[in-house]
Amino acid sequence: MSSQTFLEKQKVKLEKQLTILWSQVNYCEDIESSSEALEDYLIKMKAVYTEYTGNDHYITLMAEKTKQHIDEQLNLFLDGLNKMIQLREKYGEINSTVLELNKENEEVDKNMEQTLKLLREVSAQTNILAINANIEAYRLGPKGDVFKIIATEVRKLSDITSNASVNMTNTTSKLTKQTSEMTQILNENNQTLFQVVQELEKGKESFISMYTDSENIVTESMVLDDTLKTIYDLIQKVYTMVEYNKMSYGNVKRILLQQVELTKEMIDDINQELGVSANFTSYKGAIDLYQEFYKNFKNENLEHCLTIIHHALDNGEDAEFITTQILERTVESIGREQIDRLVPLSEIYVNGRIIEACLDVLLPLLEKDQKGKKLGKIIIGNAFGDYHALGRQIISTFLRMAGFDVVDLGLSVSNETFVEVVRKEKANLICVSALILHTAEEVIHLRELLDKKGLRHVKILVGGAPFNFDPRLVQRVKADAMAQNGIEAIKTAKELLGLLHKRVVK
Amino acid sequence: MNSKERLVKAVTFQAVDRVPVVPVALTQGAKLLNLDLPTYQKNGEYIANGQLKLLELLEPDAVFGMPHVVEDLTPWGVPLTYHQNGSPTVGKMIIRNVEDILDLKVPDPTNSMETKETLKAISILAKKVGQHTAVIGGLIAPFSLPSMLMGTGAFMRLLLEEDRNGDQYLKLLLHKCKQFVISWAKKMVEAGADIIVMADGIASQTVISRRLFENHVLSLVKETIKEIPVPVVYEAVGSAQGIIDLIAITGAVVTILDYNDDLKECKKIANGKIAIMGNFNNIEMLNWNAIKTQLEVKKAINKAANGYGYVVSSQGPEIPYNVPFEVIETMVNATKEFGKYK
Repeated sequence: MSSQTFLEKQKVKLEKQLTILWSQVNYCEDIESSSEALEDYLIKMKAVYTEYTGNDHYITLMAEKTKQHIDEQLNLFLDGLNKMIQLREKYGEINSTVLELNKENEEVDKNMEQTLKLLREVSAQTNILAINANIEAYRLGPKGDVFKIIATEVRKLSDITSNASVNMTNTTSKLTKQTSEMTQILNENNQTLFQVVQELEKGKESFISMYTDSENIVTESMVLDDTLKTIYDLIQKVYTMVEYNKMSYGNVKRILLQQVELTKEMIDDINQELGVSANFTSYKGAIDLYQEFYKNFKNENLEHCLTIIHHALDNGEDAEFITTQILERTVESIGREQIDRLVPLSEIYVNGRIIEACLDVLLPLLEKDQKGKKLGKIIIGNAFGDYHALGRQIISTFLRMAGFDVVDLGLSVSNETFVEVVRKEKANLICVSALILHTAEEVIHLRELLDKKGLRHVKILVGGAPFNFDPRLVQRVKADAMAQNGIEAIKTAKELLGLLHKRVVK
Repeated sequence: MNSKERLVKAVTFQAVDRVPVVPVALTQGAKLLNLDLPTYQKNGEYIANGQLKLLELLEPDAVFGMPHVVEDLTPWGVPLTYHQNGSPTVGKMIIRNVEDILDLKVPDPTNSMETKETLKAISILAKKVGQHTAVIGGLIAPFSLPSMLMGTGAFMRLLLEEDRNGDQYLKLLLHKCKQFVISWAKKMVEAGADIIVMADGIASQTVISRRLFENHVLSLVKETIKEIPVPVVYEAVGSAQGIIDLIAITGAVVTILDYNDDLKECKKIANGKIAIMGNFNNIEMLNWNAIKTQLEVKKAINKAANGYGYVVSSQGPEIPYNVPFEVIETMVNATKEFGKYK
């Protein structure tokens, strides 16, 4: 080989290297800017923590205040209860005094009865005495006037005695009635008081358990506090780490730029040797290519995106470079931009259509050059009964772009078909898309059928609205994971198939 | 105040005794009547009886006179596949090529067994409870109907293509769908519906951008609502937060929100312009119990009830068949207990 041919070959290699270096410099810039966005998120997270813990409605404060309130109420309650118990005891004492009083009353009654009996006898005898005196007065005639007076006075005495005994009887029975009524009222009151105290004692238990619960809530809140603080500290560490990474990427970029300069010098030297003039502007072509493609992708301009790809291929860029450095990178950047907002399906659909159209150009070339990444086979389809194609088609496109060999079974795929195709294609992952809850629930039968047919190792990745609404549905239908969008589907598929190296953080 | 007065006054921002509650429980009647779901969904009398049973047990503020909205496809000749645990699904697309749109005939909405049974259900409900409880009819909005006649992917292609390169078939298709929706809504109103819910799944922000809504949905919905002689509830079946201001000028009196929409923020935007309804996460409701439901009701009331114009409900399209009855019961009872205005 002549030295000129050698130099020309070296120059081509160096030019290629320069393109790659530029592309790497650009990637570093991407990482630097996304690191900055990441730092912003972390700062926001820290602010959320600070704002929350500094708030008057902060859960631990609220829990503590509630606990103290319950505590005060509990003390008041216990105080009241004690007083009621004391009252009940006093009532007991009053009751026994009244009982004694009753007994004495009965004695008095008895004595009174005897006295009355005596009085009645005295009255009767006095009456007889008055009659006798009257008879005597009548018998003696005018001489008996004294007897008449005696008779009159004795009758008066008899009447007084009789009236007195009637009065006494009335008073005694009134007294007895009143005492008995009082005893009854006292008894009833005592019973009510007893019941009230009994109920309050029951209430005391639930009051105390309420207090214990509130105390537990405070304790748990404090645990939550600690957990939040731990998360806060971790955020702080991640923040620092991101800062270091940003610095490292800055350094890598500087090194790469030095390499760029060095390569340029080498190309310059070769050019001098070959006697041609240097024109480095074309080496930044890859960057321009990416920026141009990205701009058109964002404007949803499919035709321009395709034109850029065709031009690049015509200019000698290889399909692998375009797929990874232009297409995938664009998708990554767009994905990052979409994090903070609700991306309508129409936009995702258009993105998917552009990727699909580009892949239709690139994939045959990659296959021809044997440069496709071949990450393995994935079977995809809508759940049985589900006729919503859009989400499935988008995910399918993203997976193809990432290098998976995707077998798309289309709408409403029966579980038997899924199993049959998985067997035939020797695939280890099935992606199931579902827009309605009850079609999403079909996945549980797919899992059962796979297990029954000895395909326990085959993983199921699900996606669609019901899963987005409640990620717990993934476990309910016994799927292995879910993905909300194309980028997530790529990452999760790689994870499920063991294609990602995971570092376990202790 | 009866529930019809309460609902109408609340959604027009007038003083009411409490926040109204409308659980969109379209399938639960089947359980209450011990019927399998497809049998229930295909019979207007069962649908009405199921709703009457719900009314007797829970006393919500409205009843629904339809089994689901997918039935709107049947007059177009689209067969439905029925399921034991949810709404039917569509098994065939009748527009296979965009050219089919030219020959597409707008059908008589009452020419299918399903729609006839729905009218029967509405009529029974209107006669039996219509004097005190609002009877709601529901249908698919004209912008969303095409995706079920031709597939969402194909409709999206048509929409985006003609949005970029000028109209060719889109307007004609939407016009035909609008004609159908208007005549179907009128039939429901004739049968006794007091309110029409218009489900527009493809128009939500989850599916299309605000710009596309402004360009292709807004006037379509306005024109449709103008022709419907009763109040219309607009249900985006997806996020509506970013387009509430636009929905408020369509003529709809209420809009149903998605679980992802911020109830408090939405109330701020909608206050005095359009009432809001929602927005429990209906899939999460499968895992709720009485306490969780009570908390969610309180949370929603705290965020949105102030100043009236709010109805407690879940996000669209409906409460799933397997959500525990206790959850729906608590949703209604807790609203009655905590939905009082201070």
